Amino acid sequence: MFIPHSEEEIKEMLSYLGLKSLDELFLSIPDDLKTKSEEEKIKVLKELDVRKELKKISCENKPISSYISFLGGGIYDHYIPACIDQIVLRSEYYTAYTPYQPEVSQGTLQAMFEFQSLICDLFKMDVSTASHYDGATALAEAIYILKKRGYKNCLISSGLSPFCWEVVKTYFLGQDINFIKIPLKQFVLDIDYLEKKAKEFENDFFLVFQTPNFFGFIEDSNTISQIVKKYNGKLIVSCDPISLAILKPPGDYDADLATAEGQSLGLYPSLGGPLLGILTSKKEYIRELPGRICGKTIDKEGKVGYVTVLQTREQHIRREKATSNICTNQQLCALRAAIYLSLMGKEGLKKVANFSFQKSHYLYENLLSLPIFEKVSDKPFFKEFTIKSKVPIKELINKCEKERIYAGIDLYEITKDESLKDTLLICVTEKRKKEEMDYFVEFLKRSF
Amino acid sequence: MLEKLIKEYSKKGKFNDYFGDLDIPEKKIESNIPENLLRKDFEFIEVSEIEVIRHFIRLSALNYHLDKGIYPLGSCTMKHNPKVNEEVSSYEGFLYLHPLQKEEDIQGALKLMYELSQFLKEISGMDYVSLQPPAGASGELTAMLVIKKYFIDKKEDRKIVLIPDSAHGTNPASVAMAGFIAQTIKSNSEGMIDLEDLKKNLNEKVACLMITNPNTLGIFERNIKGIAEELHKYGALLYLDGANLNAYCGIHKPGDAGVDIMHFNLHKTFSTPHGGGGPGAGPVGAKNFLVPYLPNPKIEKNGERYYFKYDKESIGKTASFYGNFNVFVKAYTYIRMHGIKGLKKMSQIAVLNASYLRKRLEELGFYCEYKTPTLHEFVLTLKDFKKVDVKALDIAKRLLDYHCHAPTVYFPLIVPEAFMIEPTETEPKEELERFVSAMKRIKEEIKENPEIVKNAPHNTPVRRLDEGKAGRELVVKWG
Repeated sequence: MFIPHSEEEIKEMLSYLGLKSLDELFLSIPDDLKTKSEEEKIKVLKELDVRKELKKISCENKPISSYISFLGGGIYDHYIPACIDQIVLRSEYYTAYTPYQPEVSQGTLQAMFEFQSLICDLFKMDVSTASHYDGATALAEAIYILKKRGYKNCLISSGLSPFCWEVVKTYFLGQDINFIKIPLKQFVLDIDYLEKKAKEFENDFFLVFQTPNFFGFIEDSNTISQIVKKYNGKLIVSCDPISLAILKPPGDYDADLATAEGQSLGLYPSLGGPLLGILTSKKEYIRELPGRICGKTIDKEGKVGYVTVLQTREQHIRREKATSNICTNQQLCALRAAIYLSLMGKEGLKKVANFSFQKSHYLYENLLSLPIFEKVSDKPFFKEFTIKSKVPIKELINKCEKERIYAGIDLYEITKDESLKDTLLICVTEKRKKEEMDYFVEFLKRSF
Repeated sequence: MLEKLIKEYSKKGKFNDYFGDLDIPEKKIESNIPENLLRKDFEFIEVSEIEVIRHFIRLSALNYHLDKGIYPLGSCTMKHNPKVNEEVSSYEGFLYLHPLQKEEDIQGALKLMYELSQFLKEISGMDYVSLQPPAGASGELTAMLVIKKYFIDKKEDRKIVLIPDSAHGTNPASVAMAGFIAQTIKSNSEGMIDLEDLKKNLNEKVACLMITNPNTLGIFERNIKGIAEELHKYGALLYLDGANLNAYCGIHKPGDAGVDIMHFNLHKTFSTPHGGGGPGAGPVGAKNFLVPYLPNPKIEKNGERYYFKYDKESIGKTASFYGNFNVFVKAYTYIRMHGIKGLKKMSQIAVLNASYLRKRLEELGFYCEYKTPTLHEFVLTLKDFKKVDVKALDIAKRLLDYHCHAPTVYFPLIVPEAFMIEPTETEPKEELERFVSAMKRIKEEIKENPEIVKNAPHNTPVRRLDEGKAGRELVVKWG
């Protein structure tokens, strides 16, 4: 299909090789390992028809863009400025490979350097890697760093996204690490329990927590950090990058490593992939970080340029002693994030964060004015909240869906936690309009 | 500096307003969130949209890329990225799917994933393919974890994974990450796995052998079936690194050779863009006895309805949700445009191009360390030029001056001054000839004026960069 040769050229090339047929190119494969010609099982379509076919398949989905969506839980419907798609569709970016030859990859490398810088500014951390597969694998890698430093006890907040937790568990399957879950109280980390465990594992533990946590509530990062440091532990935080325009950044409460799912920064929800793993740290961890990091240098004429640094950490040099197995990461997603952060800038990010905050609180109050809902916690939240329904949650969700509203996430369905029966996780970004929220509330009022 | 940093465009007060005014009454954040949890100072760039666009367009112009010319990186399969893939994967019905939507609402997506998985089964001869791992190395790790869980459940204590010395670096790194111990197996004089060394290292402590086939020298491991039988005798498994699958789609199925588990690289064999280093996708296929251990959830079909299935034996998840879905759309489209017959032609021409290029270069006096016939790629050794103090790296850099991307250099490790070349099937004959001419010219230059090669590149956006300085100073963000 995409073969540029004429039949004549194929013949010429074969004859140059002294061969009679294309089959003879494969003499090194033993005959008994060759596939017998079979009937074509795939219905082949050329470009004209494949577009129609894929359009048809895409129409068998019900995208959130044609609904009023309050779905969140880690993947968010933030606004994506039109020019991001246009820039990343430049062949120069998307048809290039990893910058193995930096002299002809300065575009990718400088964008990588700027991504790292923008992320460090946002998180107030010293170092950022060039990217990871997603927030969950970035977190698993962060835990891996501390495990390799010899820490055996990993305290894990029960407010961590269950999707992250699933991946972390898998990464450490059968390995020598002790995971201790710290429960929540009022939907935020139980500080007393944390202190008890921190004391128990003094000098040999680290804490992993998420803020705002999976249920939307903002953790008391200051107190959490003080406790962890008091007992000489290390601190890993997973956060929502958008929230950092108004919430205290990890660097301000002494986090050792901070990770995030970067999908909010200009990536489509896309059924949860590709995403963008963000991994940042204090400077002292730079030689232990996994994957690519871009650094500044000069060329032989003194011109500033960029290269990947500390490659001796990486698998292609260090093999089994590498800091990680990661090779390909999510460069094009990191480029999207770099463009997004540049376009938004200081005021834009504050506006995204503030609008999300304002609108989620507007909806929260209006929902609570209905008799069918009650609070689960008085703790502050940012753009997402958990709320308890007095009507069966499945019924509520299904009714709303018929009205073209995605009401939120059924938390019991996700966690299988009995205490979360009939609770709903609702997210409101800057994209939701007053009319949409009012429509949602009115509909519920009418229906229940 | 070729293009200043985006930060240098920043000026206080610049702001792109994408949202307009708030449509509800504004309340004070401080009245809801305690002040000590709020951000005090927020220093961040402020740049106008036109400046952002110009900046990133100017940066893009500094990249060499596939749409410009040959990109013969060995083992990377830098083939044409069909534009129709980008078009169809941007349909709203794909981009705006939330991973927590109900099965009923994403039937099209599930169908696409189910069918892609079926296609990969068909191509590989495996019994089930999980699409979840988001990259090749992630696929390797996933496979190692599957093997680990399989032996844990069988209550067998196997810690060793055997890896040929020609393997990709990700292999031993994945092994270490999964908590196994990597042990190297030597290559023989033909560039294949040394069977004697394999037998010597094989025992009941071995979990598996990781094989790449064709291996990184481009050589088909013709003893693969025997190797599988030997491993199975000891209860050990055979894993295949599918990085080089482009060599034999429709011609050979790894499943028929006794491979128990393998990974695919959709961004290599199935044309999805490399994106300057991701996102890719690294699905894992397995034989029936390992299928329950593959990541959750699996996608199954009941009549015309597609659904998620969770196995209790599964290792769990190796990505937050279902993997790099948008990449699946592109790979699916690519396979739909080919069929198995089209993929066979693809592999045939990939091998034709590589074989042709190898012979053309051999006629110029370049040669491979191993004389064995190769498939989709081959590895030259440039050690002879070291006599005149010219390294493989110098020749790679000089190729950039001739507007060719350089091959992979210094890999595999068993070839001195390695130059690993994979042209792929989508390079026209003229482009191969252009590459040959560049190599010919460089060879002459080494004789006439080696300094020009040693000091290359000369006409790239920057000259050779000082990696040592970058490593020493570690400036990894702006000040």
